[in-house]
Amino acid sequence: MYKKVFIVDDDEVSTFLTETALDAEGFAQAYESFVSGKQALAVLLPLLETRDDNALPDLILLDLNMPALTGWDFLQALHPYAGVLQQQCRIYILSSSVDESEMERASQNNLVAGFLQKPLLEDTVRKLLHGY
Amino acid sequence: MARLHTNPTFNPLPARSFTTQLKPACVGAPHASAFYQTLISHCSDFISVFDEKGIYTYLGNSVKAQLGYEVEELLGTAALACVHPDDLAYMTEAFALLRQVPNAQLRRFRLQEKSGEWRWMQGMLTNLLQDQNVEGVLMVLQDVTALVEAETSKAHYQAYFESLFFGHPEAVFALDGLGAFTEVNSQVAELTGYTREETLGGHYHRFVHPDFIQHADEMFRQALAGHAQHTELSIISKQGQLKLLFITLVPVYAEGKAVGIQGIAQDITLAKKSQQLLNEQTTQLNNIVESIPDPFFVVDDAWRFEYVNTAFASFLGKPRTETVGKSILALHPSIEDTLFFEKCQEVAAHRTTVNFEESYPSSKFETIRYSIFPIKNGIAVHFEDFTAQKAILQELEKLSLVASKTTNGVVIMDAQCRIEWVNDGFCRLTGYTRAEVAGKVPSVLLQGPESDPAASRRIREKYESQQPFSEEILNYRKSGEKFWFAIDVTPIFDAQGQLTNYIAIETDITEKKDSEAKLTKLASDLLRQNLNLQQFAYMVSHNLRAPVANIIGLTSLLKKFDMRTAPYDKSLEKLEYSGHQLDTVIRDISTILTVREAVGVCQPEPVNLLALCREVLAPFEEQLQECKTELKLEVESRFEVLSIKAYLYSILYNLISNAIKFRANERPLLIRLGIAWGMHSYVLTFSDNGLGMDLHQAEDQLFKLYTRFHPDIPGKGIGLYLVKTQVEALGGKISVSSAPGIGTTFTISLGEEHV
Repeated sequence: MYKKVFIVDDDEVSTFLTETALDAEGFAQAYESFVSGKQALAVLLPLLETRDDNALPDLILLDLNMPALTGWDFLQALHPYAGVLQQQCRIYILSSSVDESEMERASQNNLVAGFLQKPLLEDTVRKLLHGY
Repeated sequence: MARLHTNPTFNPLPARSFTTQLKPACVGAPHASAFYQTLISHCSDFISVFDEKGIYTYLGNSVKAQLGYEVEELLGTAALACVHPDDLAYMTEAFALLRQVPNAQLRRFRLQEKSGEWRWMQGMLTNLLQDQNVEGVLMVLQDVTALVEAETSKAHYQAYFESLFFGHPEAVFALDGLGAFTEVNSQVAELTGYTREETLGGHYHRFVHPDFIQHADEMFRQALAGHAQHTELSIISKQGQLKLLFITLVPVYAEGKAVGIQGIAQDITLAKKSQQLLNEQTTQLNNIVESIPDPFFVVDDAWRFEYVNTAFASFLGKPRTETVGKSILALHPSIEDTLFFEKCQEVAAHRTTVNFEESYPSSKFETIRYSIFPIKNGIAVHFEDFTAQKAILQELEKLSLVASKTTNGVVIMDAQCRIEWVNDGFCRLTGYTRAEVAGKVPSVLLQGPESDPAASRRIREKYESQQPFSEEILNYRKSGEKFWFAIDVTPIFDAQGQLTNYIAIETDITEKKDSEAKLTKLASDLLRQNLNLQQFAYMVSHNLRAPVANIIGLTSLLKKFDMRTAPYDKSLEKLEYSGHQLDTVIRDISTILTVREAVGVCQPEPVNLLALCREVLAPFEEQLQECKTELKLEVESRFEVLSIKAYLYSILYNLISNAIKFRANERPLLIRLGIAWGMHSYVLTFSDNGLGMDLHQAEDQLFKLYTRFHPDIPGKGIGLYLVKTQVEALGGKISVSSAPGIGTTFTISLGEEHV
């Protein structure tokens, strides 16, 4: 069980679904959701700056298609902290996209642990949690 | 007439010669008086005695023979009476002298004969006044007239000779038997530069040029042997000048033997030179005429060959000797009917040169080019085989025909790229006349403001490199109309490799260029379409699938919840929302596809921009009033554009909608619509004083579908995407400038086909 999971998505229905799916499997002790990358960064960046590793989430589920700051922009903003994040936090893309080029792009990014497709179903949640 | 007086102090001395002559005769004579009388009367000398008063007291009989007088006629007359007036003074003096000396020699003087002639006499006076037998002066005279006359004549010869020698206008000289100069006249000094003194005594070898010494010696020897000689030889003057002389040598005889030589030398250097020059010129002239490889001949007034050169002789196949002097008509009667002979007669008659060609089918020279010119007493004819040249000329004419009639432009330039000739095609393509372009440089003449400077520079460089090249360049007709030329330029070099001309073939490729431009536009349109499609795919991937993913998630969730529980209802609510969301996206897609498909279907129509603005603003009236909006519509009321009205409506609608949506609450909204005219386009500017955006991160995202910049303000992110799609559908461009907290300005440029 993860301690803390961040969900970054402007689509509230999707966030509701994700949270519900994760909670159904007892995925984490705490869930925190953000409707924009900007809001999420406002929380994350101070923690990374101060190296408050305990306060960092174990896992981030990140949507790509968001206004103003897209998922890619969000990852770009985190890039300076790649070293810490790779040790402390796994970032998964959670997108409705079925676009191959975006999956390819995700696999190239060393901050991204995997590409998940919406909706998040229980099989996927179990795999994330138990590795099977 | 003075008389000779006897002097009392007269003291004559014995006349020795006379007495010695007489004494033996006297001594040996047996009958003294008669003896002397006989001697005297037979003596050829004129013997007379006169007294102290000068009166003849005795005259020998010879007076008759001498002077023609009878003795009696003269006895008692004065001895001086017959003396020549010019000699009287002398004779008077001689008579007077006898007072001091016994005898006196008389030099030559003249006595008058009875006939009046003068005789030259000379003789002796002997004073015998004291002699009792004589008591007078004895005068014995010999007639020397013949001698005097002989002497006078010799003096004349001498004078003649001297004047011939010294006064001769040529150089005259005398050499002794050994070749040394014994006399020279003044011309010799002039000729040789040596003075008389320098010359006399010197040998002629001193003057003669070494090459001629042997010859000179031979001449000298011959002359000395008695043979007068003429010769030419060179001498070297004192100043070192070489002079050619014509020399005449004549032997001089003394006592029957040649003792020396007299010569005359004439300077013929100049004459010889002129003659030599004349010879050389004649030879040269002959050589020139001979060296003409073409046949050449001269006929006189009677049509007789006066001169033919070798080429002509060989043309006729006859030696010169068989031709010269013969009549051309006699040798070639057939020429009488030819143009050639007609022209010959013309030249002979008018004395003017003619050049012409005449053809003789199937003969040795098929075409002959003649030059006939008048000369003194005849005409000269030069001709050449013109068959090959004729063929070349004919080919050139054909080529020229091709060059001038081809539809392409043909330009011949000199080495400085200045036009020498253009064909009709060039004139037709450019609108310039041949005279207008002569001397102009085509690049300068034809290129204009929109010609590509890079291509223009390339053309210049290629001309300079003197290599053949091809280029395409935008040119301008005389009318100012633009057109495209493909030019192929070839430099032409002469036999020495010197650049002489450029030849350019110019083809009008305007149509090709236009289709190229259309293709380029098509390609760029396709690229844009492709980008749009990519964007569309992205949209489908995200925005269309997002509600679908949610619907799938929600339905699977609904299975897990009991009906009528709170989570069930919540999920159901969200399911309904997602359904609506999906519907909205599908409607958007439909709208977008409609715009795209409509391109090329809708016909542009005149649209009054101001009226359209009012129409668009109507639905927003209430909202605009709420925002205390200030509208600045800077558009002329009569301004119309040719466009698709629905698109312009949609564009303005979306922009106004955005302006209201993203207004800054702290200030009243200001919307400004302006229009600016370009040459072939117009530019709409739409600005507001709303929230604005930081375009640093948003510029390339702004016009994308479902891209939103203000998460706090509701919206789908389709408005600007539609605006862009519609502007592009109208063939225009849209750009944006914005600053957070200040406002946003959209600039829309629309092309000429919509004006």
